[in-house]
Order: sequence, then structure tokens, then C-alpha cells
Amino acid sequence: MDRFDEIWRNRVQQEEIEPSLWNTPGENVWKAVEKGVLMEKRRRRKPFFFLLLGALALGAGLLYMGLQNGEIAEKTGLEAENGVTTSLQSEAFEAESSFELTPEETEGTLDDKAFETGELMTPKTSDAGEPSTPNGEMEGAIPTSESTTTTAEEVASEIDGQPAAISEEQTAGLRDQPPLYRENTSMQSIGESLISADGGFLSKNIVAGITPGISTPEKLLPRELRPFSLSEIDNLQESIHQRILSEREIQTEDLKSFGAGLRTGLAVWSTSVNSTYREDLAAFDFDFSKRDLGWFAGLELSYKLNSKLDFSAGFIYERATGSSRHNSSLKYGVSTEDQESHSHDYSELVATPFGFASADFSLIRNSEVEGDEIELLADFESEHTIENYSFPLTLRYFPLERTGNFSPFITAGVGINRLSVVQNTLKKVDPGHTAFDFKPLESNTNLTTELQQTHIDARLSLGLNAKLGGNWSANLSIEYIRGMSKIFESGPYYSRINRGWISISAQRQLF
Amino acid sequence: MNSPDAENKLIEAVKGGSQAAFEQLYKRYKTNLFVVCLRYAKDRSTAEDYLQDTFVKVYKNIEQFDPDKGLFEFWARRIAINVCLEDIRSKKLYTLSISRAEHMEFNESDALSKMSTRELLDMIKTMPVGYRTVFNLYVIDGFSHKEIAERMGIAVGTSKSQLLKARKYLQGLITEQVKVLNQNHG
Repeated sequence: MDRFDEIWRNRVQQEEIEPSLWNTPGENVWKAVEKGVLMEKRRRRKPFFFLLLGALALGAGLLYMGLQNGEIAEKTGLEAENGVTTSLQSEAFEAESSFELTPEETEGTLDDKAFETGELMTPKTSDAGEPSTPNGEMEGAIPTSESTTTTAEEVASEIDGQPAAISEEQTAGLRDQPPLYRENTSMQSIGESLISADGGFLSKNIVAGITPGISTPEKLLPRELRPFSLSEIDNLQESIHQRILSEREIQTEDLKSFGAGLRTGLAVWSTSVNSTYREDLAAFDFDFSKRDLGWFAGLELSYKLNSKLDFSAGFIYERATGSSRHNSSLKYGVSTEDQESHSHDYSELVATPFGFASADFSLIRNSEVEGDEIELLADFESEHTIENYSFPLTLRYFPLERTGNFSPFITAGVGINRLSVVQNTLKKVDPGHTAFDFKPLESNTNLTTELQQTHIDARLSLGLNAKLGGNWSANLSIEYIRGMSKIFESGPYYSRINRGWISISAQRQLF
Repeated sequence: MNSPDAENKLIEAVKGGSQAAFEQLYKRYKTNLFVVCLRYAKDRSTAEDYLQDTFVKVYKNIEQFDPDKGLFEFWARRIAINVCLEDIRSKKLYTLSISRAEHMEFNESDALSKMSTRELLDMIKTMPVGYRTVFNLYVIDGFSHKEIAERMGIAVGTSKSQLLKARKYLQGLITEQVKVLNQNHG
């Protein structure tokens, strides 16, 4: 490098360049830079959206599983109902088939009126003392199931060709016999028991009664042959239906595994600051004695893994306001102050637990001070408004058997959080010197800082679940949420958000 | 008035994602970095584009800045130079050449000291882009011919010849300026 170059370098690069019109970029440059920065921030947010997408996919998966289970439960219930109905129908048909005669056979042999009114279902004999089925043939009118057909066929084959062997006396004798029960009266299920009590055995018993010596597929004990009316059968069927529906409801409720509900409550925010550096008058000396109060509300979805364990995912909005204090050193040059107003304008960046707050203000000297440069130990007070979205993913465990409508539970899980709004406003500057007054400038408020907006927490709660009926339940819980990732870091200081929640929620089992 | 650790505090804040801190950083360094851009750009509008790209890159790469390795201003200046060179390279502007300058004997030091920084920068700006870029890189920003050749994708010999021509060009301009000044005083 020769002397020519050296002169150029000294003049152009090393000389202090005073801001002037020619070397000051236009306002549009900063706006363009802001746009570029915004795009960069959006690019950085992508991982968060992937997390959100994952959570949504998980929720959708749970919903799908819930729907699948709902379908299965519904199908199972319908099948159960259909099965019973078929059985009922088949046995009712069986009963009817046991008595149903051909028109010719029926004519003149059956008391039509009595039969229609259901007064008497016991087969009548003819006036000549012959049975109403002269050839003894039993025809199944509408055999609806194999068992019905088999029974009818068995009976028919047994009695086929035999003359009527029952007389009025025999019928009367049968009436006097002790009650006849099935051996298996104590059934395992209500459905079975009810099915066994319907008209099915009537037909068989009656058939057995009118065909001595014929053994029916079910082993019968002697019993009274009590005449049944149609209205009784109707009532019985209705009763069976009610019982089945009730049982089905119970079974379906047990099968329901997907629920949704609303949750709200009060939150206590405690921002913990960790540091290894705690000198007096340090640049970042926070005061976190206050707890910030807030509230939250959101939606919660749950999936029943088994009778004691639920998995739940939610979407919760939270809002809290609070304040923090920070002290910092400021220098005031008397000789360089504004000669008219005796003041200095400052543009400081104030550290808060929720990032930096921009602070533009003036300090006005109201009396004489000693020395030219005064070091002031100023206290800054900032106010914060924070909005946060969280996506809790938790497991809920019911350690005890439900007694009555209440059941205690514990939950543990994690939360994925996103700070959506953090507004730090400088409220006050105390110069800590009687000779100086603080005057806020127009731009001293309004700052939204960008922190580590996405943060993770761990959650633990204790609560009580109450069944309200109609698939609704309510929960009351106390939850501790521990911040696992830093939301703000500057030098040796970093802050995390811890919260305490008292929440109530209402939830309905959907599928 | 800023406390001694103000710059580091500001940079830490920008690293933490604070836009307010970044705005303060912009306000603090926009003039010096704009001057760098003005040296490389053909006009003010282009220089503003360079400055914009420079600050966006500063924001993107602020995590890479290590205060122990040097001042922020030097780091940001390097980014500004890279932004300018990227544009110049992409437009293949450095291949231009002229044959105007002729070397003249004169007292350069006196002449230069009488000129303001803005006038000097205006002189640089009038140079063809090839001369201007190599002159800026070598004389003012301290790159070697090898580095210039690598960064601009040209031969080392080309860098040297461009510099020689740039010097002659500027000397010619200064001589003319001196003549004007002498005529005014005479």
C-alpha cells in the first residue's frame, strides 16, 4: 500500500463521520428491514407450527379412534338388541307356531274369541274330546330361526301320527301341578334371564304338557301350567326391551372413550430468574417479589385408555398482567446537557423478565450538582401484559375405585406453549437523586419484544372428578406448571415461567 | 448516553429476539454502514438497497457474532461489503474498463486534506464499478488481491490492474479538482 492508498483509507474509513443528510438512509430503509426481519421470524416460527401440527394430528387421531370406538359400540349395542329381538321373535313365533293351526283345523275347534282376547292360550280339545290337532301335526307358521325350527320339528316328529292323548281332565290335572321352573333360573346375564322368561318356554312347556312323554330340548321341571294372555306377553316383551336398553346404556357408557369439554380457571404466574451474577447495581438486576395474576380458558379433549387412565390434549388461552423492577446506571453530563432545559434525553433498553423494554425518557436537572458527570442509579418499573397459548398433553390416573359420584385423580404431562403477546411498558424511572426529575417521552411505552416464544413445561395436578349424569362430568383441580425452557436470556440471567392453576372443567363423553 | 456495556447488551438483546434492540442497533450503525454501501453502490438508491439487505443479514446471523473476536461494527461492515459484492458479481459489473486516467504529479496529501469525506466518496462513486470495487476492497477495506480475486471471481492480475487504473482515475480527478481550486484562488 502506497501513500496514496493510506491517505484514502485514513480519510474514508477511520474518520468519524457525522450523521448528515447525505449519509443518512431514508425512512423506507428501516421499514424494508422490518419486513425482512418479520419474514425471518416467520421462518424461525416454522418448528412451532410443526409442533402445533403434530398436536393437531394427535388430536385428530384420537378423534378418529373415538369415532371408531363409537361405531363399534353402537354396532355392538344394535347387534345385542337385534339378537335379543330375534330370540324374542323366534320364541314368540315358536309359541305361536306351537298353537297355530291350519284354518281347517282351527275352525270349530278353538275358541277364537278367547284366543284373540288372550284369555286362554291353553289348547282346547274338541267337543268330542279330541285334541284340536286331529293328526297331532304341529306346524311352525313362520320359523325364524334354526332353533325354532328344530324345536318345532322335534316336537312335530315326536307327535307326528300320534292321536291326541290329552283330555280336559289331563289339562285340569296339569293346572294343579306345582309350578314348573327351568333349572337354570339364575342366569348369568339379565338378558339371558329375561329371554328365558319369555313366551319361548311357554310354547315348549305347553307342548310338553299336551304331549306327555316328549322331552323338549330344555330340561323342564314340573310346574303349574298357567295360562298366559297376549297382553302379558306384550308387557313381558316391553319389560325385556326396557331392561335390554338399560343394560345396553350401561355397556355403551363403559365403552365410551372419547370426551370433550371446556376448562377455565385462575392462574398465578411466577417468573423465576436464574443467575450466577448478583452484584449490586448490575445491569440486569431484577426484582421478582410479585406474583402475577391471570386467567385461562380453553378446550380439552380426552381419550379413555382404560378404566383408570385417560389421555387428554387441550388448547388453552392464558392472559396475565404484572410488573417488574430493574435498576441500571445512567450517566448525566452537566456540561453536555441541553442548556435551555437542563436535561438529557435517554434511550435505554430496560431488561425485564419478559425481554427488553425500550425506554425513551428525559432526566431534568432541577438544582445544582457537584461535578460534571453524575452517575445515577436509576430504578425502572415496567408493566407486562402476557398472552400465552398452551397445548397440554397429559395422562390422568384414577388411583381409587369410584365411590358414589366422586373419584380423585392425579395428572402428569407436558405443555407446549407459545407466547403470543408480550407487551412491556415502562411505567416509571426513579433517578435516585433529588436533583433530577424523570419525564417520560412520547415513545416510552409500547413495546412488544420477541422472546423465546415457544417454551415447554411440565405439569402435575391433583383433582376430583364428579359424575353429573347424562355423560357429563366435572373436574376440580390444582395444577403446578414448571417452565422447562427459557423464555428470555441475557448474559448470565435467564427467566422461566412457572404457573399455578386452579381450574374447573366440564366434560362430556361423546363416543 | 450509553453505559459502557451498552453495545453488548444491545447485541444480546437482539440475539434474544428483541426487535426494539435491533432498531436501536440500526439507529446506531446505519450511518457508518450506509457510507460503506455508498462507496460500492452506483447511486443512493442502490446503496439503500444494500443497507437494507445488510441489516436483514445482520439479524439473521447475529447468533454467529462473537464479541470476543472483534467489534460489532467491523463484523457488520464485512456483511455490508459481502452484500455489495454479491450484487456486483451477480450483475457482472466489474468487467467494465475505461482508458481515461493518466498519471499526473501533484501533492496528493494536500489536495485530499482539503476535501470533505463526502467529496471523496463522490469521487469514488464516479469510478466505473470494476475500479470502484477493487479500490474499495483493497485500499479502504484492507482485502488482499488474492481475497479480492476469490470474492469477485476474477484473476489476481485483473484485480491488480483494476486497482492501478482506479488509482490513476482518482489521481486524475483530484488533479482536476486542484486545478479548479487553484483557479478560484488565483
